[in-house]
Amino acid sequence: MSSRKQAISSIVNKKEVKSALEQWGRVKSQSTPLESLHLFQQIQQRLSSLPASESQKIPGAHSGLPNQRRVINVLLHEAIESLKQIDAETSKLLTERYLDGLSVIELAYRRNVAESYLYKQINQAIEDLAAIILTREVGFLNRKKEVWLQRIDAASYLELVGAEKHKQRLYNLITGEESPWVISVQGIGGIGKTSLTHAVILQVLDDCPFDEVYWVSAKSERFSPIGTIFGDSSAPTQSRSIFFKLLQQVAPDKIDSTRSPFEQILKILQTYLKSQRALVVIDNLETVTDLEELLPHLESLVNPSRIVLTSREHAGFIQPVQRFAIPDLDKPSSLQLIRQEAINTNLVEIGQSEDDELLPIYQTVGGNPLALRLATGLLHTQSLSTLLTSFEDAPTSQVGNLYDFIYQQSWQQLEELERQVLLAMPLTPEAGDALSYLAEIVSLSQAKISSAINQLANLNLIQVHREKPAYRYSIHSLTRTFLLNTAIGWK
Amino acid sequence: MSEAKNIFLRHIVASIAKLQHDLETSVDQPLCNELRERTLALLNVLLQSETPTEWIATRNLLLLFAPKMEQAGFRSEWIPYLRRALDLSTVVDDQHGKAGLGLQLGILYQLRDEWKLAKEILKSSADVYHALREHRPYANILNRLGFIACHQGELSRAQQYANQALELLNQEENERHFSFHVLGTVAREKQDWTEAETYIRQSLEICQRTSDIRNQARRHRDLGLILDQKDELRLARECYERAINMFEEQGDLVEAAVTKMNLGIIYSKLGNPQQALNHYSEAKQVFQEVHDELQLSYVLVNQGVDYQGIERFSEAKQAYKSAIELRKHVGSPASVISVQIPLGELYIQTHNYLDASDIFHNALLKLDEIDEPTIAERYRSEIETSLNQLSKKVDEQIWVIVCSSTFLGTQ
Repeated sequence: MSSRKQAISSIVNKKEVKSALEQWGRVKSQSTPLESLHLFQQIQQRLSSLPASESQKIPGAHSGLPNQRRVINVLLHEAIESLKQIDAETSKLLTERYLDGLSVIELAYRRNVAESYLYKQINQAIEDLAAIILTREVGFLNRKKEVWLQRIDAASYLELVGAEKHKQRLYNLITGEESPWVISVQGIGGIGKTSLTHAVILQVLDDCPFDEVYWVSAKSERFSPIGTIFGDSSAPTQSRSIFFKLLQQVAPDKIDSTRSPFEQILKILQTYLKSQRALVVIDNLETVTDLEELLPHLESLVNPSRIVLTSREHAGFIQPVQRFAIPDLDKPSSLQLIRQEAINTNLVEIGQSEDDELLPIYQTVGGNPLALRLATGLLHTQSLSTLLTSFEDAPTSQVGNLYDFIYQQSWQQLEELERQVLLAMPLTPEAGDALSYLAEIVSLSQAKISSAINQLANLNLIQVHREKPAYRYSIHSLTRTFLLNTAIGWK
Repeated sequence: MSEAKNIFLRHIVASIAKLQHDLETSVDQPLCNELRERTLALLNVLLQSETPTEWIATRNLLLLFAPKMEQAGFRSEWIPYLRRALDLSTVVDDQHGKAGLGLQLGILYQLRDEWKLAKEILKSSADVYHALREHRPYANILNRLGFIACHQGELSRAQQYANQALELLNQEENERHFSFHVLGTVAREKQDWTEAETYIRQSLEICQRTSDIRNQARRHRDLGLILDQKDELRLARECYERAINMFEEQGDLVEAAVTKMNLGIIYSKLGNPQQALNHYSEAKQVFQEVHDELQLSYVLVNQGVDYQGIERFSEAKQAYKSAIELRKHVGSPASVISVQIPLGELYIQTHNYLDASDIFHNALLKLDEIDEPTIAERYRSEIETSLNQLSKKVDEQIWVIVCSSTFLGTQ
C-alpha cells in the first residue's frame, strides 16, 4: 500500500501521465503510474464491484490486461473524454496517438504538419490532460471530504489548548505505516478524548493519507432500559450494533440488518477494510457494556486500515490495542487554558493575571480541561479570591467528587433565569437543539434567554455547536448527570 | 420539593404542550426527524422516573405520538416506550391510558405479525374499553382482533369480530372500513375472489367518502393482492402503482415500500426479475432505515427467489440466510421454516447436498414448535417432498455415498 503523503501535483505531472499513456494496452509494464491517486482507488473499487461481463464493457477495461492496467486505462479514457468537452481536437490527437497507437509520422501526415510541430502539440495535449486529471482528483477529494465531514459531528470546542504535543503524537500514530493498528485514546471524563481525536481527524482529512474515514459513536441515542421492564432479550448487542453502524458507512448496500449473521457482517467489513486504507473511529466506547464481544474482532479488521477508540476505561483491553492515555494538562498548559477561557469569555483581568495568581486554581482542580473550564467559568460570578477560598473545601481525591463540587459551585452562582435555561437542557436531544426550542420550553422569548445562554456558555455549562443555519446548544454528559441526579433529584 | 424540580416540572409541562401542538398541527404530514428526536428525548426523561410525573399529559402525548411513530415505521424502536408507558398506566391505575396505550401497542405487535402478543394486549384493552362503554375504540379493537383471527386461520371467528364491530359503529363512521377489510380478507383466505373484491371495494368507498387517503391506498393494495391471485397481473400492477403514489404523497414511505415489494412480485411473475429486484432493493432500503426487521425478512425472501431464478446463487443464499436469521428473532417458527425450505432447495440446485440435508432436518425439528397443527402438517409434507428430491439427487452421485448414508440414517 503506497503512502499518500505525496503532494497531488507531484503525482499528476506530465511525465507520469505520459508514462501512463505510453503503457496503454501493454500487458506488462515496469511501473504503475498514477497509482497513488484517490481516483485510481475509486475506479479500482468500481471495477471490482461489477461482474466481469459488465466491467469489460467499460472503455479501456477490456479483459486480458492486468487489473492495475485496466484501472489506469479507465482513468485515462475518462480524462480524455472530459478533455473532449473542452478541446475535441486535442482529445482526438491523444486518442489516435496513444489509444489507437498511430505513429507520429502517420499523424503528422494526416494533419499535414511537420513532425516537430506535432511533437509540440502532443506535449501540450499531455499537459492539458494532466491538468484535467488533477482537477478530477481534487474534485473527487473535495467530494470525499464532504462525505467524511458529514460522518463527524461538529466540534464543540473553539481551540485545543495544551494539546499540540498530544495531537502531533496521536497524528503520527494514526498515520504511521506500521502497527499499532488499534489505538485507544483514554482518559477520565472531561479530559478531552473526543475533542483531541476530532482535531486529529480534521487534520487527517486535510492531508488525506487515508482512502476512507469512518466515525461511529457507541453512545446509544435511545432508552436505557430500567431493569427488565424495557429489556429486549432479542435486541442486538451493543457491539453488534456498532459493527452494523460501521457497515452502514462502509458498504451500505451490502448488509440487511443488525440481525444478519455476525460472521457475515464481519466478513464484509474485513473485505472492505483489508482492501483499502481506512481510518475508523469508534467514539465513547465506555458506554458499551459487552466489550468482550467487540474487542477480539478488531484485529481482524485492521492493517492497512486503522481503528481509533475513545474510552474512559482501559480495563480488559487486549494486546493489539495500543493505549494512548491523555494525561492531565501540565501546569503551563493549564494556566494557558485558564487564560484562554478567560479571554474568550471577556474576563480580561483574569486573562492578564500572573501565573502566581492563577496557580491555586490549577493546584486545586488539577489539569482536567473540563474541570478547569468550569472553574474559570465561576470567575464570571465571583472574584478569584472568593473562588479560591471556596475551593479550600474541594474534595480532590476523586475526580467525580471534584466535578460534583465544581458543578455545585457553578449551580449556586447561577441567576434565576440561567438556572431555568440550564434546567431545560436535559429535555432536549443529546445532540443539542436550537435557541427557539429552548425558548419554548422555558416559556420566554429568545431575546430574553439568549443572554442566559451566553452566560451558561461562558460558565462552560452549555456547549455551543456553531452550525448553519442555526447554532445548536447541548450539555456534556457529566452536566446532564449532575442536573438530573443532583440538582433535580429526578430518579 | 426543590425549586429546581419545580422549574423542571414546569419545563416538562411546556415541552409536552409544545410537542403536542406540533404533533396536532402536523397531523397530515409525515413525522419529521426534529419532532421525533425532541419527543423521544422528553419521553426518555419522563418514562425513566419511577413515579410518573404529569402522567395524563404524558399519556396524551404518547397517544398522539404513537400513530405518527407507527406511520413513520419506527416500530421496533417505539415498542419499549409503549410497554413502559403501559406499565406506568397500571401503576397509577389510569384506565383510559391502559386501554389506549394497549391499543397502540397491540397495533404495533399486529403489524409485526406477533399475533399472540397482539391478541393478548388487545383483548385486555378491549375489556377496559367495554367497561368504560367506549364503543368506537372498542369496535376498533374488535376489528383488529378479527384481522388477527383471520391470520391465525380462525375465519369464522374473524367474521364474528368484524360483524360485531359493524353493529357498534354508525353508518357514517370511518372505522367501518376496517370491518369490511377484515371481511374481505376472510373471503380472500377462502379464495372467494368475487366476495373479497366486493368487501374491499366497500371498504374503499368508505375511505373515499371520509377522505382517508392512507387507508384508500391500503385498499388499492388489497385489490392488487386479489387481482394477483386471480392472475390478472397487469391490473394488479396498476392497483399497486396507484397505492404507491398515494402512500408517497402522504409521506408514508414504509407502506409505500411494502407495496413496492408486492409490485416486485408482480414483475417477477411477469418475467421481469431485474425490475422485481429493483423494487425490492428500494423497499429494502426503507425497511433498513426504520429497522423494520419483519418487512426486511419478507423482502429478503423475495430477493432470494428472484436471485435464484436468474441463477445468482450466492446472492440468493445470502438473502435467505439473512431472512432466516431475522425471523429467528421477529418471526414465528413457521416463518423460519418457510424460508428454510427454499434455502434447502437452493442447496439442492447448487449440488450442496450436505447443507441441504442439514437445513431440512433442522426444519423438521422446528416443526414441533408450531402451535397450529394444520400449518405444521403442511410444512412437514413440503419438507418430506424436498427430502425425497434430495435423496434422488444423492443417489445419482456416487461421490456422495457417505453423505447419503448419513442422510438415510436420519430418515
